[in-house]
Amino acid sequence: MTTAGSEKIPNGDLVALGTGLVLLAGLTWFLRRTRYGIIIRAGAENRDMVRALGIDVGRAFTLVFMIGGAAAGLAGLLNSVVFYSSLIDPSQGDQLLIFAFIVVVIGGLGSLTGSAIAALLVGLVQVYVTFYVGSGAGLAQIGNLSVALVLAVVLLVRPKGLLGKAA
Amino acid sequence: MTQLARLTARYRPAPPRTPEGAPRRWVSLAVAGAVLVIFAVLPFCGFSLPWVLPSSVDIVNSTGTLSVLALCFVFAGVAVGFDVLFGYTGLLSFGQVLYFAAGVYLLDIALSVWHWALIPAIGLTLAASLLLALFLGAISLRTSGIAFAMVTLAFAQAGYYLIEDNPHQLTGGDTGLVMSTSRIPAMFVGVVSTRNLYWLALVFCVVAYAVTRLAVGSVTGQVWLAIRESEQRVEVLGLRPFGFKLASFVLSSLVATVGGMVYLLVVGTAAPSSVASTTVTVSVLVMVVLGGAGTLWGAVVGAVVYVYLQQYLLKVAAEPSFASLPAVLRTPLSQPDFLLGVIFILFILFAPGGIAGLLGRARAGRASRGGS
Amino acid sequence: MTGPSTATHPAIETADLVASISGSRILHGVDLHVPSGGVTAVLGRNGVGKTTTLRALLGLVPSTGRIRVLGHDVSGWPVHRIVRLGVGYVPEDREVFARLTVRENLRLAELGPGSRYEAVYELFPELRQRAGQLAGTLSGSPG
Repeated sequence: MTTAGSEKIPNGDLVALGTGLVLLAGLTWFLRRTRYGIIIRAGAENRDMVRALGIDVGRAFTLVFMIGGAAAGLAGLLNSVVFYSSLIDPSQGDQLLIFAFIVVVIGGLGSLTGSAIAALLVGLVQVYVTFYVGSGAGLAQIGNLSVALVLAVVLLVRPKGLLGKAA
Repeated sequence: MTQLARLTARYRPAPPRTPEGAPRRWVSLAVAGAVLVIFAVLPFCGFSLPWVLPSSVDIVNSTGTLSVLALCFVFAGVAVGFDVLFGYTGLLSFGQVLYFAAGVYLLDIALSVWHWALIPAIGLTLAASLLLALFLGAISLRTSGIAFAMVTLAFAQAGYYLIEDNPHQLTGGDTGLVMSTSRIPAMFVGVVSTRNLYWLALVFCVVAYAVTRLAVGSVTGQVWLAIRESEQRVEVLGLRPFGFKLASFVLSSLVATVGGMVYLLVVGTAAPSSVASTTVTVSVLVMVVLGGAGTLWGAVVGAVVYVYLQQYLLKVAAEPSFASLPAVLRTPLSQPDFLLGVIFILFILFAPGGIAGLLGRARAGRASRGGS
Repeated sequence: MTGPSTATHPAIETADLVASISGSRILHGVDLHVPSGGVTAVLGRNGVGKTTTLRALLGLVPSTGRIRVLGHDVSGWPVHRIVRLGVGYVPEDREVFARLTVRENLRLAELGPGSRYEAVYELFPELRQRAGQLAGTLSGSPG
């Protein structure tokens, strides 16, 4: 536990928060600055032209898949530590997965910053609504439903997502 | 004669040809008719089929077999509806299970909690599901491709958690909701009615197939195919794809809802894990791909094979002779979902056109060897 | 065909090249012979298969028949391997990567260390000024 002012914050939460930020910075740097990152962004736009430039796109996409898998694994680890007190079972991923999808769509496909902002938004909405409204009878899922509502609203107003640029 | 007239005189419009090797129309109809007749009279056949049926003492028209086949037909109908959305219109939705679950749960709640009569309960379920499909479909279709798949999945999962949460004690949560049979006609109640329920499921499958076949053969169906190929070009032709996509979505959802209602009658209970989870939605997708997306009859074949294999493996795992298999065989075989998942991956890698695709390739091969 | 025939390998040679797109047969057995050291232009009506021929040479379109590029039999080779033999491809719509900057586009075209950015900027001085601009916003780019 770490004490900040009058609040006690579990160290696990701080590690999760820090890891998220580091991961965001690292992936953004990878995509913007490294050659593989550029290949991946170009390949997502026009796969054939990347190959016509003499680049093995398949290898780059495999790398992306590996990175995605590793990040998901890391998320699973943090999830079980922070939310499940280090107990694990196979279904833990399900709810997290749905939130991940919702966050990506709200943030906009093709934008890491968008996902980061959306993740913050979704997390805060879920927690606040559950805390203030969810103690009523039959309203335990109101937090999750509110997130679905946010998704619906974003799709109605801005279907590409907050910062989406995917064509 | 002018030069132009001389040139055009040589050109005759080519007569319409069936694809190489495809059977003539009446052959397909005859085969379909024969299959239908076989399945219709199945409940009267009391013989045993040792390898096809899980147990050597089982007979073709036993309650167990008929229930399994009824389940096959329920999912065949749902799969056919999904094929319209996925195979014909090219929209990959991970959320059709929501409408299936709506069919199961709304009917169950109306019958068992509110004690409505059957017809009004069915009416309520259909109306509510239609509204839900229109509303969620209109929202989801503002996205496309991967985002669309994600959004439909999110909504379906929201439904799953809503059911699990048991709001106002309506859904029975995790343990499910048993259907009360008080307002259901006697012919559908009890073990003796298995035969009738089997026929009900078969009728559903046939009707679902007929309806989707009509829809797909109509002008709207042509637009769906065009949307699948290139939405942009459809717009350039002066049509608005959104309405057509929504129509496809709603049709698929309604078929799933009716399938859900039949499911409830056949199985008798509603439980979130078997009716509303992503496993179900993925299973339907697997069924369609396995059979061959975009063919309608492929979805039927895929669903029947998939559900049958799944139930078969579950029953075989309970057989006494099963325990004597070495662990290396026993563990994967007792997890039918694992096996079916592997089969799915193999098909995607080597036969993405599914069973229908394999048949097509075999026919084309025979035709080109035969004499082209 | 233009240019004198040289004693070295032809630059490109195909025999009985057959290619289909989505089930429609576009090339029905094309025999092509492009001598090296010259400029060859392929002319034809709309839809006759000029672009398809080029794409089949690169492997972007599946085909049967023999293809030799720069002395190598490239049937079945992956696209990037054929290109690395020394092929430059500029499609009709240019197809630059609109969401990447000019500099990033050029970086993709690097063939290895010591890539000749200076030569490029000398030929096209505007590119040096617009290096940080999104390629899609250059004039002549769609979108």
